[in-house]
Amino acid sequence: MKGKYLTVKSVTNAMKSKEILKKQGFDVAVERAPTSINPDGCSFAINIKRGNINVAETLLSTAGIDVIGRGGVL
Amino acid sequence: MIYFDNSATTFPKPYDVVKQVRTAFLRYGANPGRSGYKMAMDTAEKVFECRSKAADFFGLDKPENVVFTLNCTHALNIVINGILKGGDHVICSDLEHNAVIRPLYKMSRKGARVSFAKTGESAEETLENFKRAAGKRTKLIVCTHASNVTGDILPIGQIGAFCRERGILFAVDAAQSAGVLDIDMERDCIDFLCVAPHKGLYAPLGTGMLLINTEYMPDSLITGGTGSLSAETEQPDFLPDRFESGTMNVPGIIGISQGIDFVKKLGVDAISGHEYMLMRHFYQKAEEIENVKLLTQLPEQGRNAPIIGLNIDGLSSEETAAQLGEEGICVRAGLHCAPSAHRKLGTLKSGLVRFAPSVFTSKEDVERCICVLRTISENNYSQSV
Repeated sequence: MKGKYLTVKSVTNAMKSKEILKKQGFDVAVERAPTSINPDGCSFAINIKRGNINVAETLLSTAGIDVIGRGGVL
Repeated sequence: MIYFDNSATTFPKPYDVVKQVRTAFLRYGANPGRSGYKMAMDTAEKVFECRSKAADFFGLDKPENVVFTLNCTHALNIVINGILKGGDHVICSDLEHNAVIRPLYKMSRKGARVSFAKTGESAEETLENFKRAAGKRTKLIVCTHASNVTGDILPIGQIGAFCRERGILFAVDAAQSAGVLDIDMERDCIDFLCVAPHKGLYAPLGTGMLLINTEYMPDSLITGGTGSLSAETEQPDFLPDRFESGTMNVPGIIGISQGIDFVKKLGVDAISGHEYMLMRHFYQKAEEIENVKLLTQLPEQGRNAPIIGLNIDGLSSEETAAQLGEEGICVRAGLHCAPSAHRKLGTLKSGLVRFAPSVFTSKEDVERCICVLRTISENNYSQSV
């Protein structure tokens, strides 16, 4: 896994996040959350392939989506 | 075969629905929200797409607040069992299906108090009856949008506005109306909308939806694996996971998605216009047949849904349905799981024969049905003299 990740609580939240960020011009993909940023087990993450992770997190929070983990994975 | 049992489930389903359900088996066969490989993610995306379409269709701005259930009864059980506690007061109408009545009676045994508001001759009268029944401890009003027996339409927008004003939760059983009558959860102040997509949305059997438009969260009816927060023993408190434990009916959900597209493409107004036109014609023709006793009113937009209930003098509703069945006409007789509506109509003992169209019903179907009804009526009369 490579990229900058924002972990959310469920696959539904992840799909909604993808929709929001794509509309804002981000290039993103939904993936299983890497273990290092997956505090509760079995979460999903948004891999931000193009775009600023801080801006992405703000956009998601504004939309009422809880980001429960973040980080870069090499 | 002529199918007039569309209030139970619509048949046939649109070709595109059948095609997409088949595609679900071929391309979206993984468990969504569990694994991360491509087919699992593609399947999860299709499920989310359906949530978005359903939310948009019913005027809800949060796709995650669309919960997939086993059926409409399951959705109603989540609402009724999950909200009411001992000491709470709840109001329903006198036309409810057992999907509402039985959960309410179960909760009454646990100390909830149930009141029945009579449906009146006008929307205003019905609204007044709901208002009169409400008190300080009223926590929930749950009612059908359109009766599955009489077709009577309840003024849900006005009841919803009253609920919002008084801080009462409002749940609507839209089993008969979703896809046939216009519903907007925000405009109509609906907190919980319970839908049977296999009826007016032309989705496969064994599908249901609960749409939630409030911050109030009922208790979970079923708990278990959701694919989220797996390390925790508590059920997730967020939507839709709170109410979606276990593997989902993905082929059914993909069918709902296509069914919504089908209804949107034709338009709710066009579908209901077609059904009203047919059933008004049916009613006027049936009125002319001697010994046919019409038990419901002439279908009229805004007043009652386009379904007709009747009996033939000297025959039980079951006998009439059986004879229609022999001629390839599919109808439902008896009490339709709604004894209180039959009590109101005075047909609790006899039941009635219900005719319910879909967008696929034709004028030719109606004419054939009228012809068979006339023959049954005449044969029965000649046998009885």
